[in-house]
Amino acid sequence: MRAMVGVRCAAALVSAALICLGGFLGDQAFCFNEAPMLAKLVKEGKLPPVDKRLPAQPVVIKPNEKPGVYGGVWRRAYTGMGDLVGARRVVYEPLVRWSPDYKILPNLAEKWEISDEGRAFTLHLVKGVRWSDGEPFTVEDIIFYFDDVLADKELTPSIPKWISPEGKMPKVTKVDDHTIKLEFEEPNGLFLQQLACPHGMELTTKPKHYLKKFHKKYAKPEELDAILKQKNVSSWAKLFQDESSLRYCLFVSKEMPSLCAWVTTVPAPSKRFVMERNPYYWKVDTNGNQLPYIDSVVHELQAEAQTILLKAIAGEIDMQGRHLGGMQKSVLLVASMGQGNYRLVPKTATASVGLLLAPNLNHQDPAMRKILSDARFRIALSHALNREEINKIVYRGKGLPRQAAPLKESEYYSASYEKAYITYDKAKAEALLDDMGLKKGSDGKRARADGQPLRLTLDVTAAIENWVDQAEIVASNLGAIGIDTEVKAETRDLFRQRIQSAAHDIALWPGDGGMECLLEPRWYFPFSTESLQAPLYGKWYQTGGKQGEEPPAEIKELMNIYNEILVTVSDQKQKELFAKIIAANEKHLWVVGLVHDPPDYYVVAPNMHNVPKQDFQSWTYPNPGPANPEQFFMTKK
Amino acid sequence: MEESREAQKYLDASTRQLIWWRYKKHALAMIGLYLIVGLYVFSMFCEFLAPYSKDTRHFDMTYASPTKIRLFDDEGKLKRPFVREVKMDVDLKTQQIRYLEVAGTHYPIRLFVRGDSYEFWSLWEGNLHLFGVDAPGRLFLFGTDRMGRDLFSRCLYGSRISLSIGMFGVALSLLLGLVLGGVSGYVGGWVDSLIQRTIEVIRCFPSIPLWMGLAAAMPPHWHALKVYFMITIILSLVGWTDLARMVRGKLISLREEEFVLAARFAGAGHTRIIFRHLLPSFTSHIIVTVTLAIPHMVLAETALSFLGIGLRPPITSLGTLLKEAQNVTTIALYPWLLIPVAFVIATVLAFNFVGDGLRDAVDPYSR
Repeated sequence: MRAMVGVRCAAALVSAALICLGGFLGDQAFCFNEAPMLAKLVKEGKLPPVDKRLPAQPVVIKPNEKPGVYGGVWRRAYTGMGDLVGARRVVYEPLVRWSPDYKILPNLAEKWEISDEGRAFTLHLVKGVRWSDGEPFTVEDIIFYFDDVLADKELTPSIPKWISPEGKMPKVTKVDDHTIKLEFEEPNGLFLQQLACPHGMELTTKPKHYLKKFHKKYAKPEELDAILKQKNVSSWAKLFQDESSLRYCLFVSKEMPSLCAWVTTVPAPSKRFVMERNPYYWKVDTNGNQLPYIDSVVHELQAEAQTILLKAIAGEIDMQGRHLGGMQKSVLLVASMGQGNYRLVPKTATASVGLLLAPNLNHQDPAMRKILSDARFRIALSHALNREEINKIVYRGKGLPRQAAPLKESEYYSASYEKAYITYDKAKAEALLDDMGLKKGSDGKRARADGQPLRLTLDVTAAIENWVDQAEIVASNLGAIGIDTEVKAETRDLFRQRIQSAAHDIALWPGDGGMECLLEPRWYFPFSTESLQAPLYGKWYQTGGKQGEEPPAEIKELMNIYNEILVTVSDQKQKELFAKIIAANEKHLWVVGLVHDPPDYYVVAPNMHNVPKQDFQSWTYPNPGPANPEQFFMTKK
Repeated sequence: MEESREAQKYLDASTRQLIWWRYKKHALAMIGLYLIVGLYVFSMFCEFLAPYSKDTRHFDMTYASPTKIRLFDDEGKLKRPFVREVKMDVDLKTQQIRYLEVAGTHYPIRLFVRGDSYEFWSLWEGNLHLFGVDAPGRLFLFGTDRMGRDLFSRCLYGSRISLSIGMFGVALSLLLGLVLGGVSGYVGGWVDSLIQRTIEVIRCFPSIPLWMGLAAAMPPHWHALKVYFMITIILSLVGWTDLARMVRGKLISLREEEFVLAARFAGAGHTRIIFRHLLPSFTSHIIVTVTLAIPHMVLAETALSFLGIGLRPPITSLGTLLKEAQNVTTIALYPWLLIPVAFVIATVLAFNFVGDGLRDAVDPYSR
């Protein structure tokens, strides 16, 4: 037995030496190491040795500060099934991933070639990666997703837009076990970025050998029926969707194989939802230690977010940002930091502004539409806003007044658009309004050209207190230049209903897409019905002109530019094209930004190491996933 | 001699006088009465009594703690009450807001100052306030909230809404209770059974979920003022049953009395019998019940608004004020935002004391 181990170790040494020759790992040669809890299982014969579990050339992760030690329980908290998003952010393993500075990095795909002007993508997978049950991860699993999930009309009624903008299936070819080629009809300039987003994990969470038994095409009918009966589900499609839903499939079943650093051992929604280290995880640190360092991640169920805040303050959370955001909570976290239970790591919001005004270009009342479509009106609004007051009241003066422009950290940053029309200048605003013929009456209130009083309603979702506060400040600012303004704080459902039918005057919403401008362009032109400045133009764009309203030429041009970006592969060219869109925004100011919010914080325990110094807060960038949580480690307190 | 004059005074006094004498002996009830009168006067004239308007934002004074009122100047001499100018400062290390008094500044609290303009009862405009200080001094008796709004002023405006809901709600309940209870007791028979069973059904519902259900059924796009009236109606729709029961019970016991029979034989109609003979004989009981019902209404409104299904901003009630204080941060860092609780407690206690006192007093001949 000992001789066997020796042989294996020698084999590992040889392979490591080979790796060295390849220059892959630098100049160190070693045996791979594993966590004590796994070494014990290997000794008991319940698990193959570590070099049999790892790929021949495992992916090497350079620790953030220093190589860590094994062990520890990472304590977090969640509020229930609807909150598993938090856990998804910890286990982030798509084919390509975001780097901590928001660029594309290889992950399960170690390299790729783009050919045919961005129509064909050849992805080379890391060889020898295994699912958490020991089965190999190959191209077959990805093909299973395309051929048997996406192409199956029962499972997927329409191809999601992120796969290809025109919603068409790519042609999928298996080159060899670890190489796959995807060919799209049209160039797909943003495909790699889309793969790095959370939805990109669809491709890496479809273990064919496991999911087969839920799929009509592969399962024996009587076995499938038995499962349906046992789980009390009406159709196989529903069953398959339940078992493979990205929202929770990794967290509600102990059987589901995974490629992530931790796999579920006590499924959610339990009081303590536990994920333990994946013995087949395919990444090592620079010393050849198999990752992750931390033994298990435990989410404790807390129905009330305020309790999570209290737990964080008491030092009962090791690292978490979720439910601890927002100015109010941040202030208390900072105030209670003196107790030494935690430190705070800032994360920059990737929304361009915390809230923006979207004047409705599709207003149903022609007179109002004319006013809201006039750039002078929107510029007047912008000058009338006292952003400093909003900053002081809502963000303690720590935010940054700006337009809904790309952020400084982004590649698309434009200093002139950021600062356009943001000076608080009532006289200028009033002059612009007078110029438009919106004259002030004897009561100090302005009237429209048709003699009707000029009244504005600000639609805002009531769920977040500071949004309503900001809306009220905006309303009083507009009141001061003679526009009678009312705040309509409503439930999210009602808000959606009103804006989708373009029934609003001005809607308020955060300026998503300050970093990921190309993936989330809705505030740069009417991209979808989520573009509240013109939901009907957005619909027109999304449906290729079949529904919605045809936009005017200057907006159509932006849509054409964006279409061009989608089929452009060169980063440089994409940037140049997007700069045109930004320039048009600066001229027309279709949306009026308020203030960029100051960073929220992660609460980090003093004994938690290798966490990022700072991070982004976004959904497309599922923080802290891109910071490699597998190399976080905990020392004894 | 002295004693007999005293006795004579009692014999000559009207019932109303007797009740009043008896009531006056009840110390707590008198305190309650003063409190109630005070609260209602406050809330009726809150535009004038509040130093600021409820929506004025002092954005350089967010989360200011209650202003210190000083009596002694730097030399230790007694002065009329004054405040110092206060400057906001954000501690960069802890991010906490601190307020530093500017030494040497001196702003006496003056009476009848001109300040924020308002529309008094929507009738005429004014800007006169009972008290205040000159700018840049500022007087926040209860501190300010997250928008830098004066909490004292907001409490006064909030009590106006909460107390008026109590009054209107109970008035409506009273109307419903009197009519339905009266009909039920006077007519009897199947009408009585029907009304009584309905009351039982209504009373079977646990009240908070019932309010929640009714409040949730309100269309969310309604204007805040409409919501206010609906909440009042909802509260009274649930609250009338007690009164109806009481009225019915009284009527049943009274309608067989000789004086009612006498009236009937004398040819009096039903209306006359009810309003002329029956009602006056138990008005005192109604008053007591009503007094005890008002705090229930106030509490119910506060509870609903606190849960976020009652009144919504910009309408300010004690409940919405408390809702804003509904988080850990407030309790830890800005405890003064909980002051509206004191108003709720004061209102409820005062009404209960008055009700108690009245209950003892309405039967002046009892010992």
